[in-house]
Amino acid sequence: MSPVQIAIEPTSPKTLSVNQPDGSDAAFRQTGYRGYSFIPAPLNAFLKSTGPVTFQARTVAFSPPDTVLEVYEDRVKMLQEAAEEEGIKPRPASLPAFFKFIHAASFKVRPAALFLLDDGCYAAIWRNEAWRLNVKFLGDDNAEYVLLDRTEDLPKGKSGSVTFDELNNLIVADNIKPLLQA
Amino acid sequence: MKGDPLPDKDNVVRYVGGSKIADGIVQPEAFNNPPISVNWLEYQSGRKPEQVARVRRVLRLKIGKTAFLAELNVAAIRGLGFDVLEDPMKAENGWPPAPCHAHIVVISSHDREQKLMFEKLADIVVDIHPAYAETNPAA
Repeated sequence: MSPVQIAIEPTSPKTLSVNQPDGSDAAFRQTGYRGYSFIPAPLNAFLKSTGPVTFQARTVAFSPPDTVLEVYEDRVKMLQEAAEEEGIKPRPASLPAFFKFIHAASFKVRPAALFLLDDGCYAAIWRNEAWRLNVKFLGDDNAEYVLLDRTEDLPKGKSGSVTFDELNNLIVADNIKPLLQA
Repeated sequence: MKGDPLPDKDNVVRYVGGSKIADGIVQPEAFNNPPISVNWLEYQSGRKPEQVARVRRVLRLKIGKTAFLAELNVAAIRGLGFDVLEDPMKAENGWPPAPCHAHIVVISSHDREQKLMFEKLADIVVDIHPAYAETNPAA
């Protein structure tokens, strides 16, 4: 991270304004965002000062509250609890593969129902009135899927083993993007 | 009696571990390994909460705190090429009798992929109930 200039305005109450490259000073607002900040050592000097002070500080990195990880945080914790209950050993490569699929999509993917299967793989289901897509994440770019047509009384749809590219092609070809799109 | 079909209008519940259910959606793996063990709700007296509570007491497994009972209608199950047959269990090894126990069995593949059949079976769940007694005041 490149350093940013922080101009101290010793008013009452004292405030910090951060000169970001875009001119904003949002970094020190009460955002509630998860993240971390670096309090520069000269801050002590500032707090004791009675006049203007200028010093260097690292910028503050925040993640937006609706990041993919945060959306699934509680569910992943619950699945860890369920895994202990049910004696399942999660496969380390599976959950990162799920997040990779979400991140790699060309559109914002709406939250899925996330599961942990008996073989330790994670699976996600997206469902709407017409479709139900169940994807099992094997690791890397590999997945198994079942696409169910919910408008039919009898089981109708397709299934198979695919790469993420093939799965994305299927999503486009079968026009089920609305099923996944936020 | 063992092997008798359950009435179409009745309902059964299947124990589903917390890892296989989310947001009311059930993962088809919860129904793998036929014959699928279920319990017949209407065998029990009372209204739905009491029926579920009585079923909960005869489950022969360690009930997970994150687990649920997924409810399915018998006619809907039959419509997919399965059947639901009585399989009452006597008291044994310290377990109480489970006269409401039944099995979902596969009677026809319809030449369709089994994965689709079980995906559809998981998709016709009509209701879910907590499996762990302490989480449900009706227990």
